Amino acid sequence: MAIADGMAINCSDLQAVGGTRWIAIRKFESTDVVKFNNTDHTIEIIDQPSGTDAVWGVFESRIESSSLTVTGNNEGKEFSTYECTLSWFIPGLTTAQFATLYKFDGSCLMAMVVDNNDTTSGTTVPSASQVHNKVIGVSGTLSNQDMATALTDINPERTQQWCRLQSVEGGTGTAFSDEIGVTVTLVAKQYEIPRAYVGSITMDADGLGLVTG
Amino acid sequence: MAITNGINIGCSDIVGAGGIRNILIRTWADGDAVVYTNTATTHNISSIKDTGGSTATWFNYEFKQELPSLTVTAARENGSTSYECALNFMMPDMDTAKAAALQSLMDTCMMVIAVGNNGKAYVLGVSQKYSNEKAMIRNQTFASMTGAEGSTGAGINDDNGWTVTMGCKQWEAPRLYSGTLSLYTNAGSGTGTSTTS
Repeated sequence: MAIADGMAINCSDLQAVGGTRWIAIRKFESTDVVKFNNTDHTIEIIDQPSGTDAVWGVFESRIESSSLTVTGNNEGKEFSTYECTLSWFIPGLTTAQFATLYKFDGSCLMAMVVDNNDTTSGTTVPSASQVHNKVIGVSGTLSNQDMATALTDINPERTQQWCRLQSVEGGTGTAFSDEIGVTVTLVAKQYEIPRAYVGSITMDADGLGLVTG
Repeated sequence: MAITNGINIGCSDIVGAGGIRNILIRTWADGDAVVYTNTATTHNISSIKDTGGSTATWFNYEFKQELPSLTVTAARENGSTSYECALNFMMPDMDTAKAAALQSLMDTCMMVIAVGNNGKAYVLGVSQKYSNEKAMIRNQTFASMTGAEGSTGAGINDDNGWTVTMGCKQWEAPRLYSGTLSLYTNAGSGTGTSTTS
């Protein structure tokens, strides 16, 4: 593919803020259907099963304690390897939190991260948009070639590029003023940079779940 | 956001008195309803109510006059500007009631209204920027008691009392309260309450 255009950096790009707004996570299912758009490097559909919205859990974190890091590396091949690391801090160290975290063990996951840049610069009103999202653990490059219905509509469960729980670190601390809680880290190794999900996202009333379709 | 308005400075701005007149504090409660007002010339909160209620109840903290102050320190880093807000006030006489008041300020997520001697009511711990999209109580920009210093003094004419600091970090300038604020009329034994609606 020819490089016909470079890239501009505008004032609005320089106003971009860090951190994440929320994180959504779900387990891969054998009946998942994902439709990629390779022109825009996006994901258009995440269904489970086909035609039915996929259900995700939404995870909040302590403010300013969550980040997605993407590290690309090329070793002279026609592809690059991208290590995508998502970590966030959960304050509290409660039984209910651990019960939820146990669900990550041994699971093949996909995660969606929405950053803080959907809000129009200068406004304080939370945005209903989730355009500034990145999906990790769902990638089309070097994926399993079991195509469900079309070249861009694959069964993603066997891609082996899913997201996994890498670590849960934390504890009670020792002093009363120490932090109590855990930092959860999920990692996905994939062969393309994370895609944006451009399909519909509908969040639950309590903000702890959502569906993509 | 483009700049669409400048600012005028009038005589009333120049003669506005410094210092704090009233300090009201309440704990965030599940279901609290806050109405924010954003226009080119306003950055307000027009209503704070309890869940399902027509008002919200606030507790009044009196202090030694001419000592309390509100300071706001904004800092820009990359694309983000944070505002550190600190409200100090001094409760004279370290007695048991003051100690109990301090105990009640610990371990709780609060909002604060500081009414200046210029008549303006400044709200701390209630901000819209980066607020939770579904439940206001899950906003993490609430106010906390960030410090308290008690001293008996050494000299007989020294002050004996507690200096309390209420602080919050938010990502917008503190808003002014523009709704109805009904201040207490009887604060006997600290039981008087104020309301917002």
